[in-house]
Amino acid sequence: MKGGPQLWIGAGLTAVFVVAALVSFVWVPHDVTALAIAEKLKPASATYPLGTDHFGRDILSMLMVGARTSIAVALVAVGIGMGAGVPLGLLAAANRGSLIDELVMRGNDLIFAFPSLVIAILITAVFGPSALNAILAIGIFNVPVFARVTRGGALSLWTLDWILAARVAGKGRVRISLEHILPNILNLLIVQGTIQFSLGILAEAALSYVGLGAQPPTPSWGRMLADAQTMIYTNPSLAILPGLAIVGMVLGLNLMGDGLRDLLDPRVRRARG
Amino acid sequence: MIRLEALSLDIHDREILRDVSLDIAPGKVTGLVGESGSGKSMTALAIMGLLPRGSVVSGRALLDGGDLLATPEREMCRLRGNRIGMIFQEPMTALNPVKTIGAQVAETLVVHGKARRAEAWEVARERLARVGLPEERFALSRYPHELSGGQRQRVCIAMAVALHPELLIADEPTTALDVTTQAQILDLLNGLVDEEKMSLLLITHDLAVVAGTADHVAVMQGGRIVEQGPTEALFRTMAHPYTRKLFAASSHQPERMAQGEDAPLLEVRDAVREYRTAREGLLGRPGRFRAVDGVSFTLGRGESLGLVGESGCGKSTLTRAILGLDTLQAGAIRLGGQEIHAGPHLDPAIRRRMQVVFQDPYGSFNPRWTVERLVAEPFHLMDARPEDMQGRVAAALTDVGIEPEAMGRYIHEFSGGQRQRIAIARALITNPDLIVLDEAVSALDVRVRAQILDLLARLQAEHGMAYLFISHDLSVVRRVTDRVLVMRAGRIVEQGETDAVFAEPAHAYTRALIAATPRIPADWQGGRDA
Repeated sequence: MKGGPQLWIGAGLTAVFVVAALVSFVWVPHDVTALAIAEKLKPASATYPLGTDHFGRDILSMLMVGARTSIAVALVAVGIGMGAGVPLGLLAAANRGSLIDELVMRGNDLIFAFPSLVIAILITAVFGPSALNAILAIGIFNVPVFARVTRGGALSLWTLDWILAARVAGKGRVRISLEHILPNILNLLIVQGTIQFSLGILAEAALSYVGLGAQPPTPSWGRMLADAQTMIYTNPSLAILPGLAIVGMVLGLNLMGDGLRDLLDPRVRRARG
Repeated sequence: MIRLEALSLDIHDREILRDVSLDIAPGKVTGLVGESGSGKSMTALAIMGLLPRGSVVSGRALLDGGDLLATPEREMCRLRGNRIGMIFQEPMTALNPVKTIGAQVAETLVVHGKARRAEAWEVARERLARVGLPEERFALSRYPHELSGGQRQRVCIAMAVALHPELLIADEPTTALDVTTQAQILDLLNGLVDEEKMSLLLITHDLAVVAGTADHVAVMQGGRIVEQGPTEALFRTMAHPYTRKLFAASSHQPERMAQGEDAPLLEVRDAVREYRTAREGLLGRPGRFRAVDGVSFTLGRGESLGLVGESGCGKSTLTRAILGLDTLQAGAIRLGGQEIHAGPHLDPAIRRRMQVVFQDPYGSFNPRWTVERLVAEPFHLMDARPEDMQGRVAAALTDVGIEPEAMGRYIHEFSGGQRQRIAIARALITNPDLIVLDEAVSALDVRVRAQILDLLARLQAEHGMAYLFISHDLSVVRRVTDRVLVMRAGRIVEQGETDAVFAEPAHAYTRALIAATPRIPADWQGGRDA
């Protein structure tokens, strides 16, 4: 089998959450918007596999829908980061040392200079807290990350003879970037994408925790943690379960990212024989 | 002294070395010659105990009666650098870029506990002076990037001989260097062997280098030593057919006749190209470096023109300007009367009349494309892709001796020589008038090089295109060009008919280049039909 054990452990762990999120679209054990105060703070049982919270909502159902929220936010945020960052990075590399390169890279530095969470709070404070605004805030901070990775990978390719051969064949910078550069840095981008994805999950949880992410009644892992805070001594499982979900998802993605890097990076692959 | 007895090596069940037996005598230079993949570097690594994982070794490697192969790793660490030193091909990457040259030489002594820091610096100073880097001109506090390739190789040698090893292994020590630097480094190594009474194992692919340097030569092929003996006797007899093949290939003369016409194809007039250099200080003005300084020449239709010069002489910059990749600050370049303006707006009609083949067969292709797509790339220069594109790719591949069925394969499935053939096919596909061969055979083994030179000669006879043959290797340029330009520091210092220039060089620099080129003495070659 190709790839190390960490790739498969990571992929397996990630798959559990992705499947749970997908299943939640069509079926959940209990409705997560219906309150049933009579059923509140029930321990785990056959009806409620992981128990209920202080409003009597099923924890398992909330975790499943919460996974959906987290993954959706992180996915779109990575999409924004790649969608804007990769073209900018390619553009900067193709025009190395020019004014465009300077503008792109100094723009990146500018975004890097702001603490991301504070800006996210600012955006949600101005435009109101919602999942959409959380996505935007997290997505913007992904842009410079992808721009840098793309530019770095592309610059080393631009010095190679086959790029020179393509220029001798009369191809322009845009065409070379798309035909030759992009396919050869795809592995870098996939690995970076996985890592940014896990950071996105963490960022969404953090924003929801402070009440700036997905709004009630949409369940979210971060807000489940925040809600459980007051009951940490009486019902610790309410905090432990969403915490485990966050840790499990992030760990799975990071392991998968490392494993993918080993699998896709020919230098590592060669060293392993 | 070192003696190898029936050394055999398998890596992951692949046979690498078989029954290699070799005596490396003290105070002598032992040459180990072979093509890439013949096992000559692996022999060196086996002596050093640096074999990769999965290696299974048998036989013995005796150093003063002790078997190196049976020596535990901890013991080998003490031997390496102390009793056995090694230098490598690429001096650019063999030194630590963030440490000064003095510190790197001194470190060897300190690591082996042979000296305290202060004494180590004293030895480093003395050793660096010995290898031609006296402290007055090359302070110990210099960093590797402040030195040229040849100077860096000197630092590597100083490190390797700092502890007066009994054996120095030099793996292609001059392959990455210019001819004049190569001659100096070989001189230095010879001098050290005499002074220190150490053994030198000189690994190289170049028969001419061992002919001029080694006392004893072993020829390797496919993991075996096929022939060995005292240098002169070996060259005079050449008992083994492989040795004869190698020898024939290294002086191979492709069959070709001058067919250049007087009609000029490429005209370069007073070309000037400058680069900015780093500012001196924060407020200093950026300096200017003239890489190409008023170069003029003409290349006739169907002619083969050589461009010779050492690294940094401006030949690459000139090539890029001719190919329309870089702009000139002054002067003009015309192809068939049309001026070449660099940049994306260069008329494709001009561009498809010239193509290029690069040096490195491994870096010349996008690894993710099939051969068909790679060879067809210059069709981008046509107004529309030709209908019979696949047929024309097949024809080009056939032309260079690659079966057309290879079209669907990827480049990693081909050897270096095959890749260079595919690169030539890519250059041929637009039927150009000019092909620029930028060190196109420099990275190839001698026998493959001879085949590619034959191929180029045949293609020229059939298609009548002109070649601009750029190389640092005078012996190759001499055999395949009609006229030659000698370039130094951005200027053409001499030009003329190839035979005339080589027979009676007018410029001192040309004479120095020719004198530095290693060659096999003519009287060693008599009486043999190679």
